[in-house]
Amino acid sequence: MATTGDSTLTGENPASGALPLLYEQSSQFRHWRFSHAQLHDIRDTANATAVERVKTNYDQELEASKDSSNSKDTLQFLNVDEELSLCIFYESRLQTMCKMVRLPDVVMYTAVMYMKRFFLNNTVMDYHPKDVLYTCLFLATKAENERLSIDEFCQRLRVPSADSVLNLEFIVSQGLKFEYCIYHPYRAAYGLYLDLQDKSVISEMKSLKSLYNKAQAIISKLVLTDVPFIYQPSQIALAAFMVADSEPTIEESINRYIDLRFADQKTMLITIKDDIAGVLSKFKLVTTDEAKTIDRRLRSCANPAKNPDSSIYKKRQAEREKADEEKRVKKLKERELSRESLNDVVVAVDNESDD
Amino acid sequence: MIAQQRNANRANGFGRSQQNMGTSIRQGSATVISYQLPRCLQEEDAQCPVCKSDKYLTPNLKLLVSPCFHKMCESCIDRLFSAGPAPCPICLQTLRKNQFMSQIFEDLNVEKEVRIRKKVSRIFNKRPEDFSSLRTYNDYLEEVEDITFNLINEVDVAETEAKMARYEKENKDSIAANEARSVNEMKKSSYQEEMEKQEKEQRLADYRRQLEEERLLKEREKSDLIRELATSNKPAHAVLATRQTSTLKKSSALRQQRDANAQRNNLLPAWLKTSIPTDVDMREADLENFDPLGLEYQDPTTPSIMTTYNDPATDSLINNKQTRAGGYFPRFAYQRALFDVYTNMAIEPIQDVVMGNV
Repeated sequence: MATTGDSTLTGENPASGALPLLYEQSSQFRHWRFSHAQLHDIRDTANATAVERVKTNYDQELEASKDSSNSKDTLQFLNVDEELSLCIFYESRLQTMCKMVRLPDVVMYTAVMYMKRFFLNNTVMDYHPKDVLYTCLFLATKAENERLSIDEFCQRLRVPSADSVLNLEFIVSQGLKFEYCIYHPYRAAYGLYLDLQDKSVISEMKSLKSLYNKAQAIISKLVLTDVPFIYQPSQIALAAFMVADSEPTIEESINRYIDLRFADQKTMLITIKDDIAGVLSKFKLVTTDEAKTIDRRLRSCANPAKNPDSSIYKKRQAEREKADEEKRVKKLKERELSRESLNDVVVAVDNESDD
Repeated sequence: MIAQQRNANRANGFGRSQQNMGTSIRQGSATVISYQLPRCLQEEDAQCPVCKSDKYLTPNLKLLVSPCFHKMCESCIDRLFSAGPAPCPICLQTLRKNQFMSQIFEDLNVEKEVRIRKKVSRIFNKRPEDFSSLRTYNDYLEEVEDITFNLINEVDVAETEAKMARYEKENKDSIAANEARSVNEMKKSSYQEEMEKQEKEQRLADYRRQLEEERLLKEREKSDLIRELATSNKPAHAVLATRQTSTLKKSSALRQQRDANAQRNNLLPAWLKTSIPTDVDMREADLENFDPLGLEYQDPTTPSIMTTYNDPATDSLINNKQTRAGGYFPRFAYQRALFDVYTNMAIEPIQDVVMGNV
């Protein structure tokens, strides 16, 4: 992977060509890069195992509650697409929320990426996205240096309880494999905006500025898709610039720019752009009604082991508490015993002295 | 009477657990034994539970503790055990005279706990480095703590004893190795302490000698100066000037010599250095090799950056005296943005392996 970059970028400086770029040592590059098919596979297996797990839990739940009103035959688990569209719905909610409380775009982007990464290996049947959303946003404010205290965060976002945010914090972090660093396409887009001025590729500032603004909007939209898992930030930024305006003069000047700077990767960049354009044209936001129907289904097939009202949760909780209690009692008894034996020794000594 | 019987039984069990312990304590307490109980603690109303003699009547009464944790005065011990092993008058466990030890802690419970801990830690002397992960080390500690708790509170004593014996047998080698290691470390640290002490003394002596030398030098200078003023026919201020420069030279030479002395390295002798490398040493070696700035990466190559761009975001910075005073220029922002463009543009997306065509 590194060699393809070196051939063009370090042409002037071959001595240091052996060293990788900083980005290539990042967790994003090493662990969060997939192909379309890989993403598909990961989601399929995650969904299948989740359904299996929830099913067994459901059996136990039915057994525990002795309630045969809803048998498991009527149960319809969410499939991969439904899970994904529910996530996308809540991700778009997250975006509007960020806009409303005036958090910067980078925070929004990071929070959405956290949600995406988390639900790549977890299922909405275990953790409802409406809860995970706040935790992701809270983590993102910290990661992107826009820290809000938890009280302020809850107040500004009207979250009823801070506990619901904080309780999930560790779980979400685990889902992210504790890799919080996200590289954004926003700075790359800014760099492109600057670089397009060089050699007067686009000399008319007004059109360049509007192009830049449009590109930023497209990036914010692209984060809802799978594109950030597949392509690199600067590639996304460049594609956003290319897709932003279909005016022939601008198209032509961006092509000129690619010839000027990235002649070697031109075919690859064009394919990426075509792919991203295809994703964009196919992509449509999930409406509230659609989300509602999925959510209604989810309510019936959510993992009962995570629901504090279910009897299986209560049972497990009780078991846990019982084990703890037993442990405590045992320790206490031992301590009492030892104290008693010491008392006996003291009594014996006293008796002896009385004799 | 029943209570007494029961207690005797209990104490017997109690004693059994301690039987093979006496020797180990005696080994371990070699350093501690010199520490005597503060006078006030023994003095208050110490009374021998066996013969009932107390401090008031026998001022040189000294209570010792048996391996079964019963106190007795020295005269009782002499009386009971000088003819060889005899049962403890309180718990009937067989004791020997040489097993009695002076008490370190006033509270017998504390005394007992300390002894048991010492004994257990002699056998269970593994270190964090012996384990593959923190988790396993913690499990090990937990187990050791359980054993200690059992011994202290007499829960399943026989079983625990057997467990310990088994462990000792199984891990004979590693126990010995760890013991050797800790002895080595102790030797090293005591040697270092000794060296430091010596060095300190040396430095003090050097300093005294220097002061003396300087004083002598000054006196000599003074007498020389007076002599020269009296005998030479140069003007007085010329004589003074030449004198001054020469004294300056001399004192600076002296200082240099002092610095050189101070730098005389305090390296460890070879025999200590070549002994088993301790873990602390190895970790320090790691730290020395660690270079926080030595990250192996390079910046992406970007085309030359223009001096100014038409950019509303940095317009306010260009003539801002405050940011410039802090050393910030818009070109840093430009450079970072361009780095981000060029750093991953050429990375190819992961290609799907098409299974159908094979």
